[in-house]
Amino acid sequence: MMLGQAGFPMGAVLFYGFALGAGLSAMGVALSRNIVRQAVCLLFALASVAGLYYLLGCEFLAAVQLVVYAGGTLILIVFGVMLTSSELSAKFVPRRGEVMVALGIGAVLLMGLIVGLCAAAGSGAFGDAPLALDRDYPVDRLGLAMLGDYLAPFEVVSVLLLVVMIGAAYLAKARRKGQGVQG
Amino acid sequence: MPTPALLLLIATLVPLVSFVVLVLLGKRMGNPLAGWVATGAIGTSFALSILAAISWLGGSPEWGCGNMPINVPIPWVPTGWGIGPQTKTGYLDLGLYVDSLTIVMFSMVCLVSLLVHVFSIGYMGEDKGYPRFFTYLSLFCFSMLGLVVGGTLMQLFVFWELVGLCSYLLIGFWHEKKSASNAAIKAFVVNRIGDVGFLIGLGVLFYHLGNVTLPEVWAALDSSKLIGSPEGIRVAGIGMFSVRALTVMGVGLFCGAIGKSAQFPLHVWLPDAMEGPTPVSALIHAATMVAAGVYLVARIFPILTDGAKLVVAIIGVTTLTMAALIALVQSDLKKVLAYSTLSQLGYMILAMGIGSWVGGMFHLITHAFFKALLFLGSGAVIYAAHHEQDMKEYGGLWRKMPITAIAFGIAVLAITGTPYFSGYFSKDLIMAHAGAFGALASEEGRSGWYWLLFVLPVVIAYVTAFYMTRCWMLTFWGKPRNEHVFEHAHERGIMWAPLAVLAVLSVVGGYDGLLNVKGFLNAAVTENTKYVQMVHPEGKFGGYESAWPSDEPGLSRSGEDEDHGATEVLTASQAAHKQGWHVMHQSVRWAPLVGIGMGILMYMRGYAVANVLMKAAPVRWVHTWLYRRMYFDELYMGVFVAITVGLARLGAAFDQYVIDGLVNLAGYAVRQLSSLAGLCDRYVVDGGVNGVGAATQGLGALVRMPQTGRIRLYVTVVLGIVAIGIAAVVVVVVATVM
Amino acid sequence: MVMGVMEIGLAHYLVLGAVLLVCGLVTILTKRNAIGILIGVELVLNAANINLVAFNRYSHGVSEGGGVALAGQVFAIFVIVLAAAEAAVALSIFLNFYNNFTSVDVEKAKELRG
Repeated sequence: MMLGQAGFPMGAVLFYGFALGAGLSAMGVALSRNIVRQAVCLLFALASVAGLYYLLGCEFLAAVQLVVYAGGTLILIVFGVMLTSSELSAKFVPRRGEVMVALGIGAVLLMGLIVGLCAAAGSGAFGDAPLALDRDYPVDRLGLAMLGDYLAPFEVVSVLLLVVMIGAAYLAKARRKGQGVQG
Repeated sequence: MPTPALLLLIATLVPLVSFVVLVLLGKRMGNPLAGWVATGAIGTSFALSILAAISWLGGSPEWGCGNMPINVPIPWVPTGWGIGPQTKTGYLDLGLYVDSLTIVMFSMVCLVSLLVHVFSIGYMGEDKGYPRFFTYLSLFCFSMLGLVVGGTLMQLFVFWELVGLCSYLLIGFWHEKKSASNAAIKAFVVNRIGDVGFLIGLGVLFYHLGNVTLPEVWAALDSSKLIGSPEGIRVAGIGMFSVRALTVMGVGLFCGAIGKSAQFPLHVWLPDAMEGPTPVSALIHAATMVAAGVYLVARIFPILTDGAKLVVAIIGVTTLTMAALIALVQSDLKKVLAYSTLSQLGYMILAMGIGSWVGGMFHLITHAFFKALLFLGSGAVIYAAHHEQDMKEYGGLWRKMPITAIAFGIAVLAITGTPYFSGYFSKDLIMAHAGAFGALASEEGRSGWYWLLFVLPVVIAYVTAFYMTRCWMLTFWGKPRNEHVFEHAHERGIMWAPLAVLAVLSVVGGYDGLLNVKGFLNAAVTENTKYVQMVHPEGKFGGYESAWPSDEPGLSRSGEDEDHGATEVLTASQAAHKQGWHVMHQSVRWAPLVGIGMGILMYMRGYAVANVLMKAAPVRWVHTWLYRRMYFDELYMGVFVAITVGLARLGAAFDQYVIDGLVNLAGYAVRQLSSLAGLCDRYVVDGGVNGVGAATQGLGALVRMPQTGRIRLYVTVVLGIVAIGIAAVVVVVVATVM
Repeated sequence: MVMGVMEIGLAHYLVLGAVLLVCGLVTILTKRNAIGILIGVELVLNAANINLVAFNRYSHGVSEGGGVALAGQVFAIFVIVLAAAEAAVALSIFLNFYNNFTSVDVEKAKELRG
């Protein structure tokens, strides 16, 4: 990473900025009760994660994250929200007990993960600095890898996308036909 | 890939594209668009093949006419072992192999196919299966061209089967006709018998060499290596290849040719194949596909041992004699032509067997032109005569169809070997070599029977002239024997135009100065020899220079006859060569004159003379014997089919009495046992089952309780358990560390 | 060993991944809106992606031959693609569900109860 060389820890500052953005947005998603607000928080979270990818040197992945996730998936979700919105949907209030249980489980998991991480970091399993690369991940390598070593999964994913397309179209069609089961 | 190979590859694929298009859209295109699509495709192929030939003649340092062939092996199946520096070692290859022979064959196939396509647009015009017909034709063109450019025996085999399939489809084109579908099945089955031999040969070859690429095989198993070591050929890195294995392999591969080229004893399918539409007979069962057998023999020629070559020659001479005799008496126009095809193929096979490589291939090319012409001419006649094929119903047609009559006549002159028509050059070459062969054999002190390989073809040359003349006379000359047919007869431009082209080719096809087919073929021998020599410089390659009755190589390698000056002929065999040409000229010179003269005399007045002759009992017997095709069909029916049917009957009887008896017995026993078991069931088992059922229900009710159907609850439970697990692990680890 | 605060290491990214994961899980557990649950799933997938990319960068960035190893990135891309596919199918299911129940409240989807 070139960013950290000028004495001022630019990389670290950016990391903390993005990490804070991602973490806070994720908490916003978890705690907000308004579905629209959740979607917006998700957008911020995704954008922050894209920034982190950039910091990790994966510019292409960052772009994909923004284009596919923030641009595609999120729009899909917003459409879903709009298509299913009614005055009721904002008022799905979870039961207090459920929330408490969920938060408890979350806390335990988080603690467990962090303790495990610290133990692993303490034992030196992770190494301590980014590996020195003479250059960042070049996109052409990625393309070659996709059509080389990872050709089989690539093709499987292509087929999957096709199946998903057909399946989604089918489900949408079935919806139009099966209007009878209202309520 | 060098230019000619690339052009030929594209030319091969164009009919495939047309086939795919016609399969998908043929019905919608209908008549006549579908036909023009197929014709356009093969026309493109023809143009490309001409371009390839031009660029081939131009040549380059690496390839070109008389220089080097182009060999493009494409690794296909990894085998892990085998010979061959030219190919990626250890692969079963497919690939292209282009030499002058390929160029000539390819152009010929394209040209004849193109003309037959054009003819078919007229001939099949009123048929409801019109698009289907052209779909099959396109597939056939693709397969045949793929066969011609094939660079490995494996590829030859693949396309070999494909052309067999097309042949099957096209013979049975009018499948609603019982005789047509029977003929198709017969052709398919008889061909399979030959192909089993082909597979065996291929298997032996592949088992020993691990590679079936043509030049590699030639280099490894060059038959001239046997001259020094009569017990077998030692292949570097592989081991000894005994002469017996070589002969078995050669004969096995030749079996494929026997089937495809309809040689004795597998000739029975070809006359029946005339059930197909006449253009198909012209294209597939006269000019191209049946010649593929000869082409195969030409391709494996350098590895055939003496024994194998003797088998080839004997089969060839048997076929040519038998078929010509049968053709003498047939009355169905197409059957006559079919038997004449058999006979001419016999000449080619004989040429291969006696080592006259150029002669055989030369005759293949010239024969393709005049035989296609004969069949298309007969097609025009049959079309004009309301699909009447019996010559007894014809007569006098030349007044109604002058162009067809002239074209047909030219083809007859060509096939009889009239001087300065194409057949004259190629047939004489074969017979001169047969003469040289006989001379060499007697010089070596071999049996006088070897001269039969010369005498029979010469005699049959007379017979050929006679029966072809008979055929023309009965069709076109004399008084009309069926007024209805005669009234209806007429000509159509789209049908006689191809005839005219073929007629020109039948005349000029043999000249050295015009098409120079022989020059090409001689160049092919040079190219292949040079190439193998270059790839394997360790030994002298003499596969083509076989003069096997003597141990001396050098005779009849390239068919340079005395008129053109023999260049590389050794002194020892030069005498034999000269003698061959001499005896040939002595004996064959009068064949066309005598044959045609006798034919004209006998059939001047239709059947009159023949009917007189038939009054003599011996003539009648012979006639019947020949007319029933020497009873081959009956023989095969009586022996092989009867054995098969008998075995099947035996099996059925075994089934009926032994197996069925056992089954019935078993059934009875089971029934008695089961009534016993039923009692047991009702009281013991049912009780148990009901008990289990009740228990299951109770358990199910218990398990049902947490199945609330609420997904989030499930997730919560799962995650809760995970969380508890993680917490437990952390506690344990921390406790241990403490 | 513990790193300096200003020296970003693998552990930083992993902690962030853990945080996102837990947030996503909590979202899944607490939301009654089906689309909300879908959003939670997206968060979880992103957490996994961060880990993949970070590991690729820090522990596994160079392959044995000396070239750049890309397994983590490639799989991250696959995850993104799968997430998009999953969102499409899930939303069409939700739309169907909405048409049948005029609601996206997952509490109403309990016809499968035993």
